[in-house]
Amino acid sequence: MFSRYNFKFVVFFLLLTFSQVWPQFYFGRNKIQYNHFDWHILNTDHFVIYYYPEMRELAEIGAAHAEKVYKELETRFNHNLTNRVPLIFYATHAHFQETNTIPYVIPEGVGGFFEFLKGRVVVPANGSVSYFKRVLQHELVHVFTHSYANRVLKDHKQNNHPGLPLWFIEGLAEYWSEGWSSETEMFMRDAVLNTYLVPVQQMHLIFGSFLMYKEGQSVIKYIAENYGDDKIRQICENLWMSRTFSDVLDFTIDSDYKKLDKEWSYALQKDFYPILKEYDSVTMTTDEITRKGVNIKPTFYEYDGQQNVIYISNRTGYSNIYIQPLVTVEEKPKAKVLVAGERSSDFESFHMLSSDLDINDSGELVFSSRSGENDILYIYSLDEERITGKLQFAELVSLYSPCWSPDGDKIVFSGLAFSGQSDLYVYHRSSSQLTRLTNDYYDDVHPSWAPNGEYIAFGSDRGSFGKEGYYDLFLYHYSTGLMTYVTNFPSNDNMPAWSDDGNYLAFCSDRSGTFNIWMLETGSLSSELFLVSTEKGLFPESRTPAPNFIDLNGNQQVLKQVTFFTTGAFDPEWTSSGDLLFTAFENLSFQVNRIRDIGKKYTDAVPAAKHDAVPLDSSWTFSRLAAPSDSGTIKYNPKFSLDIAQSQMALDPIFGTSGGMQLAISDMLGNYQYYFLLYNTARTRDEFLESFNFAVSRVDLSRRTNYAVGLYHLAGRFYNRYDMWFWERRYGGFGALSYPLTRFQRLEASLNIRSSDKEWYIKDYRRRAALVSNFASYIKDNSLWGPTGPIDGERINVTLGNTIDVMQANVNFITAIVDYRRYFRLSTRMTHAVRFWTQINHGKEATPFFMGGSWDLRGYGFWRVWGTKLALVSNELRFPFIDSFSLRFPFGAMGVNAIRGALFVDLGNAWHDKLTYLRGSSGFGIRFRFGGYLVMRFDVGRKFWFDDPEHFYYFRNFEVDDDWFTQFFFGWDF
Amino acid sequence: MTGLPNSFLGGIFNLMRRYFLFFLITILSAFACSRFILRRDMPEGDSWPQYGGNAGHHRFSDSIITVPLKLLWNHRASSALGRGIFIHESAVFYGTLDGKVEGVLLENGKRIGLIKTRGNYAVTCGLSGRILIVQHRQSQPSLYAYDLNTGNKIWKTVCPNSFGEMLLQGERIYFTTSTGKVLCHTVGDGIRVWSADLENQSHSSPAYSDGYLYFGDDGGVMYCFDTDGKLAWKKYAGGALLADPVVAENTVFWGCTDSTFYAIDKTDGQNIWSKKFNGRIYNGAAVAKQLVIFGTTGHTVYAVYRDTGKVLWTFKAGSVISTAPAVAGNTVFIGSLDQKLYALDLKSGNKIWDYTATGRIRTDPVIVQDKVIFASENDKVYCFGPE
Repeated sequence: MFSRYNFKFVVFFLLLTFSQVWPQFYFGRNKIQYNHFDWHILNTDHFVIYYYPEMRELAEIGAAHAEKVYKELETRFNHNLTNRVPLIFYATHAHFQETNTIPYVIPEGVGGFFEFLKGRVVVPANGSVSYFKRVLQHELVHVFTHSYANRVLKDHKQNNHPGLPLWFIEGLAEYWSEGWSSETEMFMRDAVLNTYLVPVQQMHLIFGSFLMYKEGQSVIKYIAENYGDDKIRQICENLWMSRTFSDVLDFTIDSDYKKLDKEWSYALQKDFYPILKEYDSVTMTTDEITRKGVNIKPTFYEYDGQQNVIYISNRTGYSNIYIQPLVTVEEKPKAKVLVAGERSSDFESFHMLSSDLDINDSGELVFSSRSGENDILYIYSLDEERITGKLQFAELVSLYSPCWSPDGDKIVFSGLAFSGQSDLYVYHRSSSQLTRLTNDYYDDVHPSWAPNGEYIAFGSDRGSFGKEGYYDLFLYHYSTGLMTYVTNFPSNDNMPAWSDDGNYLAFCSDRSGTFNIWMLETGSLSSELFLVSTEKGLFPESRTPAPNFIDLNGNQQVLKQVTFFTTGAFDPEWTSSGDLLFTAFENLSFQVNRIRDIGKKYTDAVPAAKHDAVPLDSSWTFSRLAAPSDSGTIKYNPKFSLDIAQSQMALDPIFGTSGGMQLAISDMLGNYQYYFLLYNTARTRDEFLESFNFAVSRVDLSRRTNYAVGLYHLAGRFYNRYDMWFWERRYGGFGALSYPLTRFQRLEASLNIRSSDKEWYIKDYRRRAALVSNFASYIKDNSLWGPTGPIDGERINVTLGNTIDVMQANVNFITAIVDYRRYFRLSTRMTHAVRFWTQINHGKEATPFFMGGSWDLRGYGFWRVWGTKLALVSNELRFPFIDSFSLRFPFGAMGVNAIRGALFVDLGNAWHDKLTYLRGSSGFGIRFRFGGYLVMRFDVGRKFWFDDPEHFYYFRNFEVDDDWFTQFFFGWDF
Repeated sequence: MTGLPNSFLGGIFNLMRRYFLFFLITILSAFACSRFILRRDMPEGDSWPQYGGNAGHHRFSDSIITVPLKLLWNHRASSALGRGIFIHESAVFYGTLDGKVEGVLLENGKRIGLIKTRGNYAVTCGLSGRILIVQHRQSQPSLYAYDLNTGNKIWKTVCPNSFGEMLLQGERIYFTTSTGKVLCHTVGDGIRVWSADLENQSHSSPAYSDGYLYFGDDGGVMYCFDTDGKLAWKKYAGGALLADPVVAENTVFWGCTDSTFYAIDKTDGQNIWSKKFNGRIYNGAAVAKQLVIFGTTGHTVYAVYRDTGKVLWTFKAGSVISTAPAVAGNTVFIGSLDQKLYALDLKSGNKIWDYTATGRIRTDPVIVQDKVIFASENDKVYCFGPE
C-alpha cells in the first residue's frame, strides 16, 4: 500500500490513466463505443469537420451552414477566429453518447457542446436538419464569444478575470441561434405568471439549468430590443472594465443588475399579464391527472369498463412507465409501475420527451427504449404483465413514437438511421417485414394511424416553411403510398391524434404564440387528394391548392383552436368518452391533464381565418457545401495535442522536497491518450538518479474494449502504519482492460509486472522480488444520485487477484474485494443505504488495508484501522434536513441549499489472523454541497466495541465510548 | 588600530565619488523613462496629431508612398494599442489598453518615454502642439496634460469616461462620453468650458469644420453642435453610429451599424444621399479627391463618389475590415482582421501590396512623410517605408 507521501502522485497518475478505463475509478456507469467509426475530415475555409461516411450528406449540410453562420457572427462580433475550428459531427444522439471528447457519460438532454481544451465543437443530429443547424449555430456563438472575451481580457492584461457569467453566455447563444421560439415564450410565460422568475442577481441559484438558458435568452432579447443589438457586443467589449458583471452592464447600458431586473421583469409582466384576459392557466381549467414529478406522453386504455391512463414519469428520479386509473389527483389514484427504466440495459431510456406510447385494443402497449447499441420497440402485455415482444432493426439506431394500426397487425413509427435520416416505417407483425414509407432528409415524426386504417397522419418539416424549422401536418395514404399536406403554415403543427370515429384530428400548434391544442374536422378524405409522390420527398411541379378547408364535396373543413392555455399543451390523446388527455406544461413541470367533452369545445370555438393555410407551392432543399475548400476529404489520422501540462514542487517537513510534472496529450477525437509523469524525491545529490520517478501510459478508447498499457519506475521513501518507514523501488509495466457489458455493468482486468526492491528501516530487512499481479473485477452501477450521494439503485464491485514473486517466492498472496452498496428508496427524498465491504489479502507479505474516517468507519481516525483483512457493514438513513439556508452579512449573503441529514451505524474491523473484536460507531450527520461539486460532511456520534464477534448478536462485553466524537471532512456519501 | 579605517573610509569615499554620477544618472534615467521630453532639435515633419489625422478626419496625406514597402522597424508595446497612433515632430505616440502611453522615435522605433497611469485601464492620447493630452478610460476617468518640453504634468481633471477619441481644435478638447454627454475642456488648464446632454451613450469621435462639431451616438442620432455647445441640428440614422464622421467641404460622411453610409449636408443635416452596403460599418472613412473610402464587416472596401454615392470600385479582403483607411497620394492603406495591411490603388481599388502581421489589425494606419505606421493585436507597432 502506498504511503500518504507518494500517494498523491501515484493516485493522480493512476487516476489519469485508469480513470478513462475505469470510470470514476471504482464504480460509475459506462460509456460504450458500440461503433468504430471510419472518421474522415472535411476542410472548409474556417472549419475542420470530422464525420463518418454514412453521414456525408449531413456533414456537407452542416459545413455549409457553419460557413454561413461564421460570416454572420463575424459581423455581429466584429471579430474573427484566427484558427480553424474543429467540428465533430454525429448522425444520431446515440452515436454522440459514444464520444470520447469528454470523459463523462452524456445524458440524453445534452444537445451539443463546445469544449475548451482543444476548442472542439461536438454536435449530434437527431433527424431534424433544422435542429442540427440550430445546435451548431448555438455552439458557434460560444466559440466566438469565448474568443472575443479572451481577446478583450488579454489586450487589457486582465489575467484573473472571472469572465462572462454563464447565464449571459448561454442566453446569448440561444438568442443568436434561434431568436425567440414558442418554447422560450412558453417557459418565460410560465415563470412570470407562476411567479418563479429568478432575477438576474440570483441567476446563480439556477446555474446550469434549462430555466437559466431561457431566462438568459430573455434578458439578452430585452437588451437587444431596448438598447440595440450592438450593445451585446459592447458588453463583451467592456468586460475588462470590472470583475463584477453588474458594473459592466451598468457601464454599457446604464443598468446594473438591480435596475435591469426591475426593467426586464416589468417588461415581461407587461407582455404576459394581458394574456390572462384571453388565456387560462392549465391547472385552473382542466382536470389534473398527475402532480408529482414529470409526467408525460399519456395514452388511454379502457379495460372492463375501467378507464386508465398510461404515461412515462420520472417522479422517483428514474424514468418508469406507469398505469393508473383515469381519475383526478384529488381522488389519490394509485399509480403502478409497468416498466422500470434506467436501471437495466433493457430499458436505458424511454426518450420521454420525444417518443410517444400507444396501446391497442388487446391491451398491448408498444413503446421505444434505448437498449444497448440501438433502440428496441417493446410490446408489453397488460394482461400478462410482461414484455411479450421485442423489435430491433439493425439499420435503425433510434426509434420513436410507435403507433398501432387499428387491426393491431402493424406498427408505424419514426426511425432514425445510421446516416441521421429520420423517416417513417411500418412493421408488419404477421410477416415480420419492415416497410419504409418515406426516404429523404425531411424529419417525419409522431405518426398516428387513422381509425379506418387508410391514412397515417404525421408531422414533418417537408412543408414550405420547413427550411426555417417549422413542422406541418401531413397525411400518408397507406395503400397508394401517396401523401398530402393538411396544414402549411409558418408555425409548428405536430403530434396529430385521431378521434375514435376518425372525424377529427387533434394536434398541437404554436400558431398563437405557445403550444395549444387545435382540431380539424377531417370530413371525407379521398385518395384523389393525395397528389404528391413520396419519391425522395420532392413534390412534383404541378399540384392543386391546399385541400385544407375544402373536401371533394365542397364542404368547409374547419380548423379551430380548442385550448387557450397561457403556457403549453402537447400530446393530445382521445378517450372513449370524448375527453382529451394531454401533457400540460406549467410551473416548470409536465403533467397529464384532461379536458372534458372536447367535442363541445370544438363546436363552441371560433374557426381559424381562411387565409390560415398557405398553398404548398414549392419544396425546399438543403444548402450543402458547394465544393470543399481543400482537395476533398481525407481519412482521419490521429494527431496529438496537449491537454494538460502542470508542474509541482512540494516541501514537507518530514518527507522533504519533491518536484515533478505531469503531461496529458490526446488526439482530436479523444480516442487515444498518453499520460506522462515525471518527478524526483531526492533529498541529497547522490540520491538524484535513484529517486527518479516516471510513468508513461497509453489509453485506447476507440473501441468497445478500452485498454491501457504503460511503463513506470517509482522509487522513494514511504510510510504506512503497518510497515512504518520503508524504501521501495518498483519498475515495470502494466496492462489494463475494461469491457462494458452494458451501460451499467463491466468487466475489468489488469496485469502488472514489476521488479520490487523493498527495504524496511525498522525491521532492518531488505527484500527483492519480481512481482506479477493479476486482477479481475466485475462492476455494476445503476445508482441514482441526489445532491450529496446515491439515493437509489445499487453498486457492486467484486475483485479477485493475486500477487506472486516469480523469482524468489518472497511474496505470494491472493486478494479478494467485495463492495456491495444498495440504496432502498423509502420516499422521494429518503433512502436507506446499506454497504457491505470486505477486503482480504492472504498470503506471504500480504499488504494491509486501511480504513477509518468519515468515508467508512466513522468516528475513528483516518486510516487508523488496518489489517490484511477488513470487513465493514454500514447502514445509513438519508433524509432531507434543511432545504435552504441563507446567512446575510452587511457585505453580502451566503446560502446553501439541500442540506441532507443522516443517521448511521457502522460496524466492522480490520485484522491479520483472527478477528477478535468488532468496533463501530453510531451517530448523526449532515452533508451539503458547496459550489456544485464539493460535498462537506459533518458527523457526530459515539464509538462502541464488543469482543465476541462470533456472537455479536448477544452484544457481550459491549462497550460504548463515554465521549462523543465529531468529524468534519469532505466527500460524497458511499 | 591600524590605518585601515582611514584608508578604508577613504576608499569608500573614493568609490562613492567615482560612481556617484553613475548612480545619479541611473536614478534620473529611471525617472526620465517615465515621462516624455521631446528634444528641441527634433526634426520637423508632417504630423498626425489626433485621430483621423486632422479635425475633419480626412485621413489623407499628400505624401507619395511607393510600394512595395520595407519594414523599417517594429516595436513591441506593453499591450495592445487602442484605435489611434499619433505623430508629432517625428515622435510617435500611442495609448495601450493596459494603461500606458508610449512614445518612440519615428526614425527607428526606439522608445523615448513612457507614462504609466494608475490601474490597468486603457488610455488614449492626442497632441496639441507640444502638449500631450492623455485620457483614461476607467471607473474614475481623468484627463491629463503633459508638457513635452519638460515631461511634467501640467494639469489633471476628472471627467466621465469616454469610449471615443478626443478632438483637439484650437485650444479646446472635445469628446463624447459613456454617460451620454459631449464635453469641452481647455488645453491650457483642463477646465471644463461646457457640457451638453445627448440622447444616448456615445462611442463617436467628434469631427470639426468651420466652427461646428459633428458626432453620433449609440442610438443612431447624428449631432451638429457649435463650439459653444449649442445644438445646431440633429438627425436620426437607422442604427448605432460608432464610426467617427468625416467632414469634407459641405458634407459629413457617416457609416452606420445598419450597413448604411450617409452623406449629410453639414449645414442643416439634410440627406444628400445614403446607401446600404454589404456589412456593418464600425470604422471611419477617408476622403481623397472626389472619393470617400470606407470598409465594412462584409470584408469589403468601398470607394464611392462623394457627391453621388456611386461606387467606383470595391475590394474584397480576407475578413472584416477593421480599421479606417488612410490615403497617401494615390494609395489607400487599410487593415483587416485577416491580419493584413492592404495597399490599394486609389483609382482602381487593385491591391498593389500587402503585409501580413502576426495579429489582427485593429489600429488605424497613419501616414507621415513617406511612411505608414500601424499596429497589430499582439502588441506590435510597425513602421513601413520605401525600399
